[in-house]
Amino acid sequence: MIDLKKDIKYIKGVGPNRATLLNKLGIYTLKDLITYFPREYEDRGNSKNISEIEDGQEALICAYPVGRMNEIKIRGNLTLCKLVVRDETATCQITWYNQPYLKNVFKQNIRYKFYGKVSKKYGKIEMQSPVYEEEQSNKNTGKIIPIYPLTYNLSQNVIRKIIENGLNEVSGKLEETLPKYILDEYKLYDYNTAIKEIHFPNSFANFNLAKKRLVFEELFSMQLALLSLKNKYEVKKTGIEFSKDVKMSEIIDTLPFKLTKAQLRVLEEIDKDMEDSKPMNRLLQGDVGSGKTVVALIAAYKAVKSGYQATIMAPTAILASQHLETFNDILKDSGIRCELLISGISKKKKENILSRLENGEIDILIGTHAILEENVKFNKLGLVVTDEQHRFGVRQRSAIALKGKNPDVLVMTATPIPRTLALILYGDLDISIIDELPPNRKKIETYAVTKGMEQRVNNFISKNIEEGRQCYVVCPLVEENDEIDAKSVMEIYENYKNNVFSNYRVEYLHGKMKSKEKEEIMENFKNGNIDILVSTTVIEVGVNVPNSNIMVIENAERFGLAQLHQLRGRVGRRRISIILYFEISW
Amino acid sequence: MKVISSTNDGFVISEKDLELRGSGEFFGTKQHGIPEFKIANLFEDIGILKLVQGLAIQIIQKDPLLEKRENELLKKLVNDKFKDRIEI
Repeated sequence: MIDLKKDIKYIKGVGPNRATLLNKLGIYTLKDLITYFPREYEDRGNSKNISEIEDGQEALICAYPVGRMNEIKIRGNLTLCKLVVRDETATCQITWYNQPYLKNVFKQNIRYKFYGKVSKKYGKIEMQSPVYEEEQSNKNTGKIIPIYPLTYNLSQNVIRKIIENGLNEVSGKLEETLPKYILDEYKLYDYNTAIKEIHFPNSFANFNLAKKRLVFEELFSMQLALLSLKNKYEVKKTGIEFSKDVKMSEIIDTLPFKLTKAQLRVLEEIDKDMEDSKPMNRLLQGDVGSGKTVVALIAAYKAVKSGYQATIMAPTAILASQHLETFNDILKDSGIRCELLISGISKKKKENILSRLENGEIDILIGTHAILEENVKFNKLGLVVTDEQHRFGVRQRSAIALKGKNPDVLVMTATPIPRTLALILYGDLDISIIDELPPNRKKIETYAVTKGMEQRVNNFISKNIEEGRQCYVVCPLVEENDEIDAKSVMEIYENYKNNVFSNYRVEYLHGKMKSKEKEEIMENFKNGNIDILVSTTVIEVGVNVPNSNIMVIENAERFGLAQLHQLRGRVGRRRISIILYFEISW
Repeated sequence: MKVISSTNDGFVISEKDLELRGSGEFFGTKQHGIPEFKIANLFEDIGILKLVQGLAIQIIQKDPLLEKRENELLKKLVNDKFKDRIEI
């Protein structure tokens, strides 16, 4: 049997240096190597006549050198090698940069194959830095060649060779991963063939079959995993039946605002789940600002009034404190006791909370991951709400659910995914969707502008800050990067602080900072001690800074639509009309 | 950019996003927490996705714990891929 866990450095052609580079690509073992799939393929199978090639195309030509290689030195360190080649139809000039060793490679009486990008200007045909080999050879041309994604300092040739070596080791010896009855029924390639053909397909038809098999396997295993999970939660366990006598309307009637139809519908679904003996496992999807927190609060109310405890787990301390404020505000006359558990609190306070929690003197515990710690024990946990939970964070979900006896679980997310996909992907959860925003919310004004408008944008920011508002600036990068042409946090921060907005309080925030630093900055921003906050996308979902009403997004083209939508949800969630700027380099 | 400046509905945007970028990037960003696919693309491969979903439902209904001999490989497949995240 072959050892798929074999360290990559023992594969032929790798060694310690290349192993480090491969590790960067996430390749550690033989298995990782053979499942590092190509990004695309080049058809270097069929050669073309030079005269037929079009400008900008990548093409394979088959031609004889005409004359000798011409070596031209430009500036001290740059050498051009130029070679003219011809076939029956035309001539083509080939250029390589800084590869003087090519000088004596080509012989005039031998035909070579060249594959590269062609430019055609004023009838002159040129090819730059092509791969080449003698006509009879089939190493780099003459077939479909895989192109691998992101290879850093590994050239395509090197990684291709390493993968070929890896494939040779496993050739024909990989264990099948799908049962035969499935392979037969869906006419799928066996695993060995699929792996070989996905890297080095003999034809595009074979490639399609290999891809189909591997996609099938990947999606199928995910579906099986999801369904098994759902089964595990549903079938075996009996959960809590919360009291039918506790009506959600009791608390709804005291709210200072009206719930939307969508919120009411979702609450009805949750109410039904809670009264049922089957443990609830529900995903609550809703846009930023659609009112998920109040839904969680109402569910928690029902749990507590039925004699149980509830817990709300938020991804950050700031969000948790925000939730606590909301809860205390709405539940102040209900006699329900809420408490906050986050990692920053004093030992004494923590011990106090833990003992009261265990004695049942706390009804709703709101907090961060700190809630998961072993010494956090509930008296009678009935409802778990996790906020912004990552999909497949199943372990966490069960870790917290284990603190009670099959409590009901509600998972909230502000990242809407298309309905059709949600049903398939969230196979283990029932889904509720709040698809309506409260009516009093103003539409977020969104403008796409170019850098040419910078002055106007800056004036606008100043005007708002003068009125006491705050501004977010979001950039794609933390630091300047030569390879990526995009604005960085540090660049913008320096420029704002020292030039453009030197009279305002400018701060920065990014993911590489310590979490304590980050929380401090967010706290300061929230409290109005910062006018302009320049950050990467670390600004957390749902953080409520009501006074901020502008968000400038640099290089908006680098963000996905859903991400942009999430980001703009962070600017002021109530009261103020919201204006949002994009700066795009078209 | 037209999409983002013309609507505030997250669902409309996510549909469009998926269509424009394909699922690789859509789910690759950790916001969804869905495992990154090595080769599948949820948008392009929606046909296969529907097919395997039907098949998976059939199999799990008949053999919830994947204990039958014919499904031995499937149990191994799921455990190998997801053992860090879930246990069957």
